[in-house]
Parts: sequence; structure tokens; C-alpha cells
Amino acid sequence: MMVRKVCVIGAGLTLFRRRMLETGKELSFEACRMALDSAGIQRKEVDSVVMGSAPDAFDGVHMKGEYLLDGAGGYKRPYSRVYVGGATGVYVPVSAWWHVASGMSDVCLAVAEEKMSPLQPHPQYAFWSIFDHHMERPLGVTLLWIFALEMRRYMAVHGIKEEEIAQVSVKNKHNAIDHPCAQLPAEITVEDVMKSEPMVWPVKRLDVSPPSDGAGAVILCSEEFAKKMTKEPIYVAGCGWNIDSTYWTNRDLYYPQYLENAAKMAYKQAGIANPRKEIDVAEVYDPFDYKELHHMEGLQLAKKGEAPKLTTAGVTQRNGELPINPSGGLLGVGNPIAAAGMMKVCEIYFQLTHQAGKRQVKKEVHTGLAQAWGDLMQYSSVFVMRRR
Amino acid sequence: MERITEGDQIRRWNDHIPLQWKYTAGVAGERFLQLLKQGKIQASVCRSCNKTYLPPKIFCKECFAQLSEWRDVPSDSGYVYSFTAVNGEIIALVKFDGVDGGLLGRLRKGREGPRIGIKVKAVFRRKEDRKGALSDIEYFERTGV
Amino acid sequence: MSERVKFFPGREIRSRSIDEVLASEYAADLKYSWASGAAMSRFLIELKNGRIIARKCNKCKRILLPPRIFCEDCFRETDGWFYVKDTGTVNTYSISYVAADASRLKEPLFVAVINIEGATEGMGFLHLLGEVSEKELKVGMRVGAVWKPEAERIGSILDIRYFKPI
Repeated sequence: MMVRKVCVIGAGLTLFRRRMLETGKELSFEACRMALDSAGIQRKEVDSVVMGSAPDAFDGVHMKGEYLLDGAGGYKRPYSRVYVGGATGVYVPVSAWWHVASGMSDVCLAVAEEKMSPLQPHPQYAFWSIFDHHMERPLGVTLLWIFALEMRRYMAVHGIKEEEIAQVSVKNKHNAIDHPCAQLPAEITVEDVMKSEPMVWPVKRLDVSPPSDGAGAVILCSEEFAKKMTKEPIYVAGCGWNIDSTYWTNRDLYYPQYLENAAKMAYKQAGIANPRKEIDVAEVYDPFDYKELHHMEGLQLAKKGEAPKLTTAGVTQRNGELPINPSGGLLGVGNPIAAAGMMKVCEIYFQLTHQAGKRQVKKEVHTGLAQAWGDLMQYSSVFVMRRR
Repeated sequence: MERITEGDQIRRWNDHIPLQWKYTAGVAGERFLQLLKQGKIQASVCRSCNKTYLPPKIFCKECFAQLSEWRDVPSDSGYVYSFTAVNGEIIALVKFDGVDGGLLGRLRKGREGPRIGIKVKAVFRRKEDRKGALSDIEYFERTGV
Repeated sequence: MSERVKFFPGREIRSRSIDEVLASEYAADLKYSWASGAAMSRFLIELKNGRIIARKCNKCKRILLPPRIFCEDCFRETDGWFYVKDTGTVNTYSISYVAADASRLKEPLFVAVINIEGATEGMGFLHLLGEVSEKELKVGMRVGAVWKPEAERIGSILDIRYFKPI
């Protein structure tokens, strides 16, 4: 493949909260400004901008891309908004990578924003309209159904207990205590999760991440540009993305095959033959606790059905052999849809540059991975970064 | 696939999507609207780009600096940049001397018809009727000749 | 955090203080009339007749349900109609305590993906389960459609009230 090497040289993140005073434009600006500052560059050095934001219904602003433009730093630049549902946040830097890898841009600003709080009475409501109007909406479908059905299928195929899955929520909410942006950090127990209010069984209140407002951004640039700015550039080692059929009731929900495809695409580019050994730290998409396990398996970081066992054994803790979601994940830091995936990309950048402070994982890290998941639970985006 | 030729073989499904939103005005918007409530118009300023933003922004869209400086925009320093008639009312985009951007508002009909370039001033509602919204400016009206 | 990251921006509004800021409210009620399309029109008409119909692809030999005029895998037009049974097995299920707007339901709903017999293994659709207790729910249980009386059927997925164990 004739592509240029691409580096990440800066990251920015706002607080994640249930409701922020900032408008979507202002949140985008704050994240971009912080990313530019951390990279030590100005907007005039940015050649192109990729913005990511999820359904327009949250903000109640159609054509959100143009609405957010000025705050996203896209004014009078090659600018585009990308949208692949929940997978958007990790797809944004993938899109930014094309701009730089192709030689079209030397510096590309990748920003993701979500302001879910405007939608009343609850952001959950917007999701109802993503379902098929003939087959599913008349039944009174909610987004939680599809997660609960997938979780149940995953449990049934492998004989996994709810308690095993709950460990993920306990770990991630604990990790989030050290994240300055976190919305729901907490010390909880497996029992707390089990006793929390059932929403759509087997999904209970504490199995789920909260809706949030927030934004995140990273700066991607050519290797040459990066070397001018820093002695230790972080390289984009691999990108992958893949989607399964929208006839979701025709898929076997126990395993995310599309994620395996996306991961293999990224691993091939990164020259990774054994991801379990070669990935040092991973931020996998965890809007629900079972999703962390599901995604570890799809990413080939665990065998099918093995992720709960690794979690029980402490392998995925910050001081474990394969730390998963040291940030605190969506469960702990919050889930402003597109921004949540970007938060994961930022975390891997912070980990690889030793900027994660108290969250810094114990082991030495060279290669890290961020992954997000979305559309009608059928899409995955994967972004692998490496320190030389 | 065989072609459908009978009308009763074609189906459709009718439904609706009711949605409600509650928007915050934002950091700049909150301050701007609180000032309107007091009968004042203010804009945010970027000195290095020589830009004055109305409605105010917390950032300069050119240099992307964080803006903390605000300045008064005299409410009688407006002029009609463009206008249109909507349901018998004149809606104008009003700009202000030395300010980028502008405000949309109703233009009060005078003896003469509206013209592009005429000087106007913002007329605020009575203090007790103001809500901290753009509509706190009840209308713009022509000043002088 | 390291010295380069000192401050994370943002101003939180707590729920009790939302009324202290100048929030503005809007509402929309968007109305739609969705064309059912060729495959779904026939499917709905057959539901009205009390039958479930699928499409078959002669290349991959799959019986596709919900029916579509194209095979997404072979990416060619499907070849014909195929009646499947109104019985199936529960692929997965859940118990919904909340409505679409996240409010609590008075009575929980039993929700399932049902693999329909006669269609290719794994082909199914979403529906509700009834005449069953929470304890009896099982992945793999055999269920059958409970149809509304013919006079009440309108050509909707709701012409099947729910599926019950058989």
C-alpha cells in the first residue's frame, strides 16, 4: 500500500457530564483548542478537519456537521462530518488518517462531539426511530431490547453468568475514579450491580453507561511534521472497519464477526500476528458491561467465551497482563456517543505518551488499541497506535 | 421480482416521531442573553484578528483563540443589511457599525418603506417582559432621517 | 495527569439548576408514511391472510426472512416466494421493564428473536412472547404464533399477537 506514515501529536477532552452549559459548538471548540495546545500548533497549520457526531435527533439540529463547523475548527477548510453510529468516535481518526496517509493533508484535526442532554424526556427516545418501521417499531421496541437480546444470547451460548459480566462494570467504574473527566466513577460491588434496578433483563441499571455531553479531539499529522514537533511521535499502526447485515435478527448475536473482520484489517496493516501478545493496552467499547467481553473476543484478545475468565483472573485490570479500559470506559467516564469513542483514542494516546497520570498502566506499553461499535449493533472501527 | 400492478398490493406504514428538546444557550449564549435581559447588546472581541462577534462566541473562528473580551454594541448603531416580508411583517438582518455578524429581528414599519442601509436602533421590551431571549428586542426602528 | 495536561474544560449544569440557566424548549412531531416496498408489501398482505412468507435465493439456497427483493450476500435479485411455518424457536429473549422513553412499564414485556421454521437456520424476526411465565423462558424453546382473529388483522406485524410455547 502506497501510504505515508501518520502520527498522533496531541489530544483534547472536555468533562463528560449529564448536562453541560456549553453548546455543541463550544464543546467542540474546547476539545479542539486543548488538542491544538497539546500538540503545540495553531489552527492555521491544520489542513483539514474531520468531525464526528451521532444522531441529529439528540441535539435536535439537523445537518449537525455544518452546525458544529465553526467550533470544530473547520471554517474555510476541507471539512466533513462522518457518522457510523456509536462507532463514530473511532471512525473519525480513521477518516483523518486517510487525509494524511494519502498525502492530501499534512495535519488533520479529528474531533468528535455529542450533546445528548437536549432531548426530552430522555435521550434514549431518539433510538426508537433507528428500528425498522414495519418489522420492529410496532412492537414498541427500545434500544435496550437489542442489547439485552445480544447479552442473553452471549450468556446462553457460553454459559456465562450475570455476576461474571458485572465484574466489568465494577472494574471500569473503579478505574474512572482516576479520570478527571469522569461522570460516574464509583466503588461498587458485583452485588450492587446484581441488585440494581432491572431495565431490560439481563440488563440492569449498573450494567449500562450513562447518556452524556462531551467532546474529544486528536491531531493527526505526517511523520515529517511530527518529528518537528516532538521527539517521541506516536504512530498510527493500523486502521480497520467493517459492518454486518442490517437484518440483525438474521445474525448470530453471540459473536461480533464484523469486529473480527475490522480487527484483522487493522492488525494486517500493523503487522500484528498475535494480538493477545502484541497489544499492550486496549480501550474497547463498553456502553454495556457485556460489550467489553464481547469486543475482547471479537478483537482476538480473548478466545470465544474466554473474556469473562480473563476478567475474573484480573488480567484486564490496570496492573494486569492485558489492561482493558484503564480510562474507566463508557461505564465510568460516560457515554456521549461519538465523543466516547474519541475519549478512548485520547486515552491510548495518553497511555503511550505516559500522560495518563494515576491511570497509567503498570506494564510498559508500546502498542495500544481503541475500538468502538455502533450503527444497529453491526459496525466496528479499530485504531491501533504505537510508540517507536 | 414480479412487477406489482395492483394498487391494493402496495402497502405503506404510517407513524410519527414526537420529539422534544431543551437547549442550553451555552457559555457565550448565556451571558449574551442575560445582558439582553438588562437591555444591553454585547459582542465578543478577537483583537489579533480584528473581529467582533455578534452573536458572541467564546472562540475566534479565524485564529481559534479563546475569547474573553466583550464590548458594548450601542443599540442605536444598527443598519439594515437586508430584509424580507414574512406574513405582513418585515424581518431584517441588522448589522452594527464595526461588528461582524448581526441580529435578526422585526423592523417596525415607518412612513417610508424599508430600505437597505437605513440606520436603525433596537427597541427593547419593558424590563418586566424580558425573558433573556432574542425576542427581548421587540423590534428595530429607523433612527433620524 | 502529566504536566502537559493540567485542565479539562467544561461547565456542568446539575439537574436541579437547569431552571437557573436560560434554556429554550422546542417540540416537533414528525409524521411519516413509509412505503413498504415490494417484498414487505407482500409479507404484510400474507400476515393479513394468517401466513408468513419469505423469499428464496437460488444461488446461496437461503430462505430469507424478513423477505427482501435482493440477497445481500450474493447481491442479486431473489428468485421467488416461499411460505414458512408460523412456529419457531427462541434464539434469544429478554424481559423489558422500560418503554421507549425510558419510563417504567406497568407489566414487563417478554421480547424474543424467533428463528422461524421453514426459513434457513438463524433466519428470524423480533416479536413478543405470551402465555408463558418468566421461569419458563428459555433459549431454544419452541413457540408458535398466536394470530389475531381474521377480522382484526390489518397487514401488520401485530397481526401476530405474540408467540407462545408449544
